Amino acid sequence: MDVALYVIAAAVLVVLILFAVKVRRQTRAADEDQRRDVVRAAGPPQRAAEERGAGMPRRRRNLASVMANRRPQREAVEREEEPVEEDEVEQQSFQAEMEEREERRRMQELREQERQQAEEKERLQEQKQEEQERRAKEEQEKREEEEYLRLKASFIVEEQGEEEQLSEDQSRNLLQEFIQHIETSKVVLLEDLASHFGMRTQDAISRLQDLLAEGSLTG
Amino acid sequence: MSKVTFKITLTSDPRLPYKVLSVPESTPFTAVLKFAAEEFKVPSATSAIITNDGIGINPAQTAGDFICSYGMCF
Repeated sequence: MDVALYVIAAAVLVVLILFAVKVRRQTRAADEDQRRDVVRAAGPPQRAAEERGAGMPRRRRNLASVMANRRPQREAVEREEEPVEEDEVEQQSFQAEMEEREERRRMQELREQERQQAEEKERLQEQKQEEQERRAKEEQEKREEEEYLRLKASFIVEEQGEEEQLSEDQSRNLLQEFIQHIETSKVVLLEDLASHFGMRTQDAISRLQDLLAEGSLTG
Repeated sequence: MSKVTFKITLTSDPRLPYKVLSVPESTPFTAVLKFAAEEFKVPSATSAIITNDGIGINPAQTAGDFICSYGMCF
């Protein structure tokens, strides 16, 4: 019974101790943060503790003045640490910026490369298409040529020569002959008239109408 | 195979040379034009055949169709 009581009491004590340690740690961390904030907000550094001359009696100052002197020292130390921290932060941000620039440059190069590849591909495709069209055209021309040569074999030149050019006298004679023929025949078929003089029927008709209009022929 | 005959005169020559060609009815007129141009030694690409009354000929016709359009179908 007594042993149990002792054990319980020991356990309670251990729990209490652990709790106290935890609270102390938290308080210390909060103090540190507050001190740093105060230091950052503070002005130019205050004078450090005055030096004691050698041989001077050690005087025990009151706690407040001791703390007041110790505080500037701590502030000076912390201020020395601050630039270092600031330098580190600056360096880090500079590095980050450099990395970002590098990344951007790499992305740009990649995009440029892709664009060039796409252009190259398009150009090749166009070339290929042109080549295909040219080949198709050549093949068609070849086929047409072969077809023509095949047909040519069945063409015949039956006659050739040069047309006779009628001189003015000759054409006048022909007209007289035309009129004479009509007057002689009295009744004449237009087709026969045309074939007799080597002209088309329509030409013969128009010639007759001109002559009628002129008055060279009547009836 | 029936044939049709054309008398073609070269009007660009003052002597007016002519040739009488006999071709199968189904011949495309482009072939007739090409053959006539070769016979007269002129370039076929810049040549054309027109009738006596100045009517142009559609080269897509066959020789038989052209003759028929002049009322000479048999």
